[in-house]
Amino acid sequence: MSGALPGMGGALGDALANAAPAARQQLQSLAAPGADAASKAQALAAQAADAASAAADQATQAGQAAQAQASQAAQSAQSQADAMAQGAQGPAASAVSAATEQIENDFSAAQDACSPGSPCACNGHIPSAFDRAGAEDAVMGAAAAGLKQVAAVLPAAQQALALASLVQDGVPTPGAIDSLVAIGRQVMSGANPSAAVPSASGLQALMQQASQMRAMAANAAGGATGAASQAVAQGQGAATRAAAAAQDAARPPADPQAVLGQIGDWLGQQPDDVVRQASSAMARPPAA
Amino acid sequence: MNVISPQQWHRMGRDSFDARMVAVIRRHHPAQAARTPFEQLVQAIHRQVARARAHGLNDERSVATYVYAAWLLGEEFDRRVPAIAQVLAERRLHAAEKAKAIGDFCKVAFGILEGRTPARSAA
Repeated sequence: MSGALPGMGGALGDALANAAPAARQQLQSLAAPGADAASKAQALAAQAADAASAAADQATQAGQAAQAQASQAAQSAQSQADAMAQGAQGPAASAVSAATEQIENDFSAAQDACSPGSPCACNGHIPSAFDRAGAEDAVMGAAAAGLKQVAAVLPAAQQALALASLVQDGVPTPGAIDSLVAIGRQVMSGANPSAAVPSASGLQALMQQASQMRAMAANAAGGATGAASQAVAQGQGAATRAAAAAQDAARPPADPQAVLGQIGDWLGQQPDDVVRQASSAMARPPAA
Repeated sequence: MNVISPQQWHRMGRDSFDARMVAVIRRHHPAQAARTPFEQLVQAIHRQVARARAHGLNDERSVATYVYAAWLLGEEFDRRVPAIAQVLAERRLHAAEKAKAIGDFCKVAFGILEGRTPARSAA
C-alpha cells in the first residue's frame, strides 16, 4: 500500500515489516468491506473505542505495577510508570492516536479546507497557522521559484549572494564593496526588493560591514598620503642637498697663481721661521 | 488601499492548511517525514486534498484526516483498502462520518499491527 513518495505509506510499511503473521491476517479482516458502509463505519468506531479502552487499561495496569514497585524503588517509580504507560500502545499506534487528536484540535470541522484565518468550530481558539520550519521552507522555496521566473532580477540576486559570501569570507575588493553598497541601497529603497534574498536584516549587516571596510580603506589611504608627503619632504631635502652639491661641483676650479699669490701674501705677514718651514714644504714634491 | 484578491486569499488558506498538515506529520512521524523532501510532501498533500474533495470531504478536519490517512497508508489507500472504499462511496454518510471511519481504521490497524488491539470479525 505504499505510495510513490518514500514517506507516504512508510508508516504502514514499517509496521507491516515488524508485524506478526497473525496481525497481518487481522489487518486483512479489518480492511475487508462490511455488509454495508454504515455498519462497517460503526464496527470501526467500536474497535477504535475498544483499542482506546484497552490502551487506557494497560496504562492503568502499568501504572499500578509501577506503583507497587515504587515501595521497593521509590526513586525510579515515576519514570517506570511513565515508560510503561507510554508502552501500553506501540510507538506507531501512539503516534497515530496523538496525530489524530492534534488534527481534531488544529483543524476546524466547520471551515472549508482552504479558507484562512478564521477560528475553529469551538470558537475558543484560532488554530496555529504556521509551523515555523515548514513556513520557512515554503518562503525560501517560493522566493527561489520566483527569482527563477524573473530573469532580470536573478543576476542581481546572484551578485548580491556572491558579494555576501565574499564579504563573509573576508576577501573584499573595492569594486565588490561598492557593488554591495549599491545593491544594498537599492534593496533598502525598494528599487530592487527581489535582491533581498539574504534578508533585509542580513543586507543591513552586510552594508554595515561594507561601511566599516570603506572606513578602514579610507584610514589606510590617509596613512598612505602621510607617508607619501613624508617621502616627498625627504626627497625635497635630498634634492636640495643634491642641488647644493651640484652647485659646489659646478664652481670653477681655483687659479693656482692666485692661490700662490694669496699664500705669498699670507707668508709675507708671518715670522721668519714660519716662512722657512712653508718654503721647505713647498719645495718638496707632492706625495703620489 | 491594498486589496487581497480571491486568489491570494485562497493561497493564504492553502498555505496555512499545508503548514499545519506538515507540522502534524513532522511531529508524530519524524523518521518517515525526514525521508520525504518538503516540496514533494506539499505536492502530495495537494493531490490528496483534491482526492478528498472528490470524495465529498470539504471541511478542514475531514480533509486533514484523509490526507493523514494517505500519509500512513499510501497515496491510493482510498482504492486499495476495500473497507475505506466502501465507506467513501456511501452517499448516505456525511463527510464527518466518513472521516471518522478513516481515522478509526488507522488507529485500529496500527494497534493490530503492534499487537495491542484485539481484532473483531468484520461487520
